[in-house]
Amino acid sequence: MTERPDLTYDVFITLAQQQGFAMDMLHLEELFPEVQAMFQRVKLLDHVYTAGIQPGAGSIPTDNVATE
Amino acid sequence: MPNEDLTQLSVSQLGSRIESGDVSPVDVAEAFIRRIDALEPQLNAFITRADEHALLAAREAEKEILRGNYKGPFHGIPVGLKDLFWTKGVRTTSGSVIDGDFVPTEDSAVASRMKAAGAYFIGKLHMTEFAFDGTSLNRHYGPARNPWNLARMAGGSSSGPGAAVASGQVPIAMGTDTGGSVRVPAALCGITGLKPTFGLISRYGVTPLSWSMDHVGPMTRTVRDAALALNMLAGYDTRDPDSVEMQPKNYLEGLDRGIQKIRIGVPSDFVWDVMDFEVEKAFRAAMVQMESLGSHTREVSTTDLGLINSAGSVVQTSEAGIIHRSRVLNQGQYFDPVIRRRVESGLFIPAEAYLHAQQVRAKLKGLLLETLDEVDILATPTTAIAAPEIDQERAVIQGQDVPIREALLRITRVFSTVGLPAISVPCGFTEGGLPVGLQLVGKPFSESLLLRTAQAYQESTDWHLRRPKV
Repeated sequence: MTERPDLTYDVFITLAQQQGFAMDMLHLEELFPEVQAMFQRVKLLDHVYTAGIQPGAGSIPTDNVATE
Repeated sequence: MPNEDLTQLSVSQLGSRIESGDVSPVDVAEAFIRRIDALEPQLNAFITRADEHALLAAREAEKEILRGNYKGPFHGIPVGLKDLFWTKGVRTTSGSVIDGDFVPTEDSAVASRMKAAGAYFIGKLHMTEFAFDGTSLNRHYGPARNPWNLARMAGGSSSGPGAAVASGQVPIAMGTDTGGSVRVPAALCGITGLKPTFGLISRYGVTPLSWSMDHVGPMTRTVRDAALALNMLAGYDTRDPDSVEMQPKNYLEGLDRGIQKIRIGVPSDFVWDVMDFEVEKAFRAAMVQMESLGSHTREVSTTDLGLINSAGSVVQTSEAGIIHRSRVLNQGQYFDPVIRRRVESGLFIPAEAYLHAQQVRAKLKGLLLETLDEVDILATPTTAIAAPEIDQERAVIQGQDVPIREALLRITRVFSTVGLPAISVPCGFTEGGLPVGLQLVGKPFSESLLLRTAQAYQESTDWHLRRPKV
């Protein structure tokens, strides 16, 4: 997957507006580092090749169910 | 048995005394209510007490048993419920003030199954706000304290269940685990905590945090009680879309068969990148004990467990964001600011990033299952540290400055993310007298083997028999 760009403050504010956040700038300034940290975790996953893999990890593949 | 302190017994022991008529369910209820009265001012393990409800249910159980209608080992047993299990007519706050007046009109699946087994709830237990924190801090209801040291946290998010079971306020409690919320407080409080395979216990009527990662699990004094609880709780439920249809099992069967030739794998990296010396020492001693019981223990290399955690974090936060979107956008000021920001950050994760995280999760789960083809059980310490101080934000571990939440959750979160069954049992104490937890992990739906392994260890040690002097 192509590496995504870092989240800028301007893009963050635009996204916050789109999501319906109140434009409480003090709160948004406190929130920005938290969102940046989340984007770093997202970026960590970007290099993992996943073509053809179907999401749904919550379910258990039946061929791996334990037998005793 | 005259003068016996009923609050120090396991469910199994209480059940046999009730069945034989040595004690009545009312005696049991009254003993636990007295214990709660005595300890609650120090521990703060309850958000809502239900003394009257408990006494009524105990009287009803007594009548039923006297009529010859004994329902089994949970008949007349009080249970603590983490305050996100819906209870008909009794408020369910989910640790928040936003839901502070929410009174469900029906019971959760767990509460229903308990009732059917003759058990009853004695209170709604402390938790962190919307179960989105691994500490035992709660800005609205105060912190739950660790019975082994009142200046320390009980762990979370099932903080009340951890403190209440360890202190003898309840003989058993039900918790939920999305990143470690059953196993972390179990480890920090010195009790047994089981997170079963994803889908084994219905989550119907549980306030969600993350649909694809939430699990329900019992928190008990002993492994045997965890097996009893699983007998009561496991089963298909059409009301939970992720509930798995399986043949009913008796989890007590084979529990005492021992662990001769069981292959136990200890991950060779990740786990040890951040690990307190005293916790590691207790874990290594536990592995020696496992060997002495006939198991074969060896190091195994696994897929990148840290990457599993990153995928789990993206999935969990994204799902929490949408679950609590309306609350956080419209009533954000009523959240703890830390929890609020954590929830809000989930709203910024793009759909493709969420789906990619789910793909990564599926891929790495497959690779982890390959490791579990080489061994029967994986073993790790449950947490990287013992119970931190109540307000502690960071810890220096092996020279590294680590956020407390990372130190508490980094090992357990791996196995919540991939949905594998995992149990934490006490395996020692630090020099400061704080409990240390041993985590055992199995293949999907291998709870019988997992419980058997934990039971063999527990029966050969006495860590679980020690009680805090609270």
